[in-house]
Amino acid sequence: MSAVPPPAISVEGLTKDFLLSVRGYRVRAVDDLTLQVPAGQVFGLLGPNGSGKSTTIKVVLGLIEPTLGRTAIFGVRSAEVRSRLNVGYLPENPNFHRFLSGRELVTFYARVCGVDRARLRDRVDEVIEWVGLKDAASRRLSTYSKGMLQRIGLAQAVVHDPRLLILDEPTAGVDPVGSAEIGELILRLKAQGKTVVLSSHLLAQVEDLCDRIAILNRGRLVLEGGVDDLVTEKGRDALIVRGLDASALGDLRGWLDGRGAELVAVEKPRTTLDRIFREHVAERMQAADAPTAPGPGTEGRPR
Amino acid sequence: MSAPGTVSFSLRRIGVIAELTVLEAVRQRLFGVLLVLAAGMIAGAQLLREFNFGSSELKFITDFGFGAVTLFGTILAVVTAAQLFFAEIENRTALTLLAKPVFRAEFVLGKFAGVAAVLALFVGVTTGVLVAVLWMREQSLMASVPEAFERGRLVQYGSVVAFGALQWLKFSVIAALTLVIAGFANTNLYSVVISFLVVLICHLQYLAHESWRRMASGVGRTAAMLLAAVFPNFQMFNVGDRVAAGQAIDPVVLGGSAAYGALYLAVFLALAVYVFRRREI
Amino acid sequence: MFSGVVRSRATTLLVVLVVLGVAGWTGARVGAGAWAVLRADMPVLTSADIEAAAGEGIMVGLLGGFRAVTADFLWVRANAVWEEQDIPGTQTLIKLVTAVDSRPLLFWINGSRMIGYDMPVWRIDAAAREGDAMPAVVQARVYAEQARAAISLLERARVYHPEEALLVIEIANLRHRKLGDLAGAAELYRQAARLPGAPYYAARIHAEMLRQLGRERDAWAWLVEVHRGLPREDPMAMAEIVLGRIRELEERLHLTEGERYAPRAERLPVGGQ
Repeated sequence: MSAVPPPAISVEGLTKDFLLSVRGYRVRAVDDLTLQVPAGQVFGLLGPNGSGKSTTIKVVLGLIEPTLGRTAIFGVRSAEVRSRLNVGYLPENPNFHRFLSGRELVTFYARVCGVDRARLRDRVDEVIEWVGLKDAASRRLSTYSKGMLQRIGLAQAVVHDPRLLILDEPTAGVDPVGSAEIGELILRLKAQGKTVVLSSHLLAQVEDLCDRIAILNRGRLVLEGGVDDLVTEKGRDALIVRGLDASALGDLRGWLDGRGAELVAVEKPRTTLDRIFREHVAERMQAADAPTAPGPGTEGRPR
Repeated sequence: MSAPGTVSFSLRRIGVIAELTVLEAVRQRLFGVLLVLAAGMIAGAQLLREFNFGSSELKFITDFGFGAVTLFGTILAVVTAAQLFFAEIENRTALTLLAKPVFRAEFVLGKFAGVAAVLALFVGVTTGVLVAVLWMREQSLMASVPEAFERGRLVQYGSVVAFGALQWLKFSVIAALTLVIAGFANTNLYSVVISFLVVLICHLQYLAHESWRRMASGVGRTAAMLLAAVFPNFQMFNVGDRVAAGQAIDPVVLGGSAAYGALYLAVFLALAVYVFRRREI
Repeated sequence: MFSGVVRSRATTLLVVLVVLGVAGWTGARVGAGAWAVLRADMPVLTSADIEAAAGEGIMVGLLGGFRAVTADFLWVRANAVWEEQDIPGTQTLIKLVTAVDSRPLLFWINGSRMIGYDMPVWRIDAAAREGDAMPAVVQARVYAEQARAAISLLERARVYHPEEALLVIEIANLRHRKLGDLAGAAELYRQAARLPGAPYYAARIHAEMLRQLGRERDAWAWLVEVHRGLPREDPMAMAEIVLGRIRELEERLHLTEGERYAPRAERLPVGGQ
C-alpha cells in the first residue's frame, strides 16, 4: 500500500478510435486524454454530444478497449474485472429489462454483485426506498416513466455499496422535478463520502452539484478545475441588500469609494425558471400524491 | 465468495444471469407460442385416426412428434439465443451488467445456460406430451387390434425419451453456435439468418464429407473439403427414424452422438467466449 | 491503427476456423462408430429421387433431416386420394413416398395392395358406371395387369429390403390370388419361410400349397423339417398344429411306423423364429 491513496479514476494518454467501415474509415472519439478524479468528490465530465464523455467512461469501466493509453479505478487497471468491484454505473438512457419489476431488477444486480443472501432483501428494499420507488417496486419497468427508470437505475448502481458511482447523463430527458430529485440523491451520495462522476451537458445542474469539472471537446480535454475556482470572479463580491433607497445607495457608493472599492453594478437578483417550475410543480405533485382518507362507501378500495 | 479485492470466476453468477435469461424467455411470447404449437401438433397427430393405419399409426405419431420437436426446437434455439443476446446489447443492459464485477465469459455462459434451460423446458414438455399421446393411443390400439401387439408394446418409450435428450443436446449446440455468430454479427436479424444457414449446412455436411474424396482436384474439391472440415455433422443426431420404426436406439449410436454433441458444445461455447472477449458493446 | 482492428478480427475468424477444423477432425473420430450405424440407416438419395421430390417442392424437408415426416405427409395424401379412387394420383404418390423414404414396409406393402387389389376393382366399376361393363376376359386382364404392377413395386422394395419375408409373402399372395400361379406362390412361400424373422405361418402355407399341388410327400418332408425347428414354448409357432398336419399327411401317405416322424424333445435351429 502506498502512502497516498490512489485516485478514484485515473486516465493516462487515452486515445480511442472507432472503425466505421472495413475500408478503414475511422473516427477518433477520445484523443490523448489525461485526467484524474480525486476520491470523495463529485466530478463533472462536461462537453457537447460526441465529445468523448461516454467513450471515456466505457473505457474506464472496461467495456471497450483503449486504442492507446491506460485507465484505472482506485489504482486497479480497467482491464481487470476486480477494478469494477467498487463501481456503480448508470448508463445513458438506460433501457433495463422491461419484463422485470423494479424490485426484481435491483435484486438481480445485487445478486450479480455478490450481495450477501442474508442481507439481500433488506438491502434491495433499502435502496429502493432511498430512490423513492417503494410504491412502484412491484411494477414492471415497462410502466416506468423516464425519471423513474433513472432512479431505479441509480438504485441498481448503489445496491452493492460501491465507493465510486459513474452516472452518464443521469438527468437526460427527465423533467426538472425528477432532475432535481436525482440531484439531491447525488448530494446525499457525496455526503456519504462516495466519489461521483457525472457526465452531463446540463451545465446549471453540474454547477450546483460538482466540486470539480473537466470539459471535453472533440475527444480532447479543454479545461479542468474546481467549480468554485472556475466560476468565481476573482476580486469581486456581491451584496444582496433589502430596503436600500436611492440616497442610501449614494451613501454606500461614497463609503465604498473612501475605501478604494468600486460599486460595479446594481441589479435586481433573479431566481431561475428552473427553481420556479420546481417549486410550483413539485408542490402540486406532492399534494396529489398524498394518500387521501377513504370516504364513506369507498372503504379500503385500492385506488 | 472470493476474498476482498479479488474476483474469481463464479458459477453462481452464471446461474444468476441464466435465471434472468430464462425469466426473459418465458415472459416473451415466442417461447409460449412455440410450445403451444409443438404440443398442439403432437396432440393433433390424433387426426391420423381417420386413416385407419392400424398399429402403423404409432409410427406416424412418433414421426410427426419428432418432426415437431426438431423443427420448433431448432427455431427456438436460434431465435432465443440471438434474441436474448442482442436484447442485452441493443438495450444496453449488457453495459450495466458488464460494468459490474462480472467476467465476459460469465456473461456468455450465463446467457447460454439460460437458453439451454429454456430448451430443456421445451424438449421436456413436448417429449412428455408425445409420450402421453403415444401411450394413450397404444393402449386403445392394443384393445382394437390386439394381433399387432402379440410381441408386446410397439413403442420404445425409453428411446423416445433418449431421442428428446439427444435433441436437447443438438439444440444446445445450435444455441452455442448462434452465440458464436452473434459475437461477430452486428444485428439480431443477421445472426438469425446466418445461423439458420449454418444449421442447414451442418445438416448437409455429410454430403460434402462424402463427395470431396470422390471429386477430382479443383475448386469444388477444396470447397467441399473445407465445408466438411469446418462444420459439424448434424445428421449425427438424426436417430428418430429408427425409434419411429419401433426399434430402440443402438447404445453405440446414443453414446457416440452424445459424445459428439458434448464435444461440439464445448467447442462452440469456448469460441463464443473467445469471440465475445473483445467485442465492443 | 485501423489495420490493427481489422487484423484482430481476421485473427479471431482464423482462430475460430482452425479450432473448428480440429474439432471436426476429433469429432469424426469420436462419432465414427455412431455415424457408421446412422449412415447405413439413411436411404441413398438418388438423382431420380431428387428429381421426383424437387417437383413436389419437398427438398427442404429432405435436406433438413425431415425425411420420415415428409414421407408421412405424402402417405397421408396418398390415402386421401385413394379414398377418392384417383388412380393416377394414388400411383404417383405411392411412387413418391417410396422414393422419399424407402425404409417403412408399410408404404410398400399397403401401396402394393392399393395397386393390386383396389385399382382393378375401381377400373371395372368405373367402366360399369359409364355403361361399358367389361366382359370377364377383359376383367381378368385388368386384374392381371394390376397384379403385375403391384408385384413390380414389391420387387423394387426387395432391392431395399432383400431379407424381408413380408415382402416375399405379399408377392406370393398376388401370384396366388390374382395371377392363379400356385406353383410360383408355393416357391415364394418357401423362400419367405427361410428368411430371418419370417412369420411361422409362411412355412405352413408353403406345405398347404404343396399339398394342393399334389406333392404330399414333399409337404410332409417340409413340415417335418419345420417342426424340428419350432420352439415349443411359443404359442405363435403352433407346433401342435404342425404336428397334427404331419400326422394327417402320414395317414394319407400310408407311412409305416418306422417311416413316421418322431419328434425329439430338443429343438434344432432351423429356419424362422
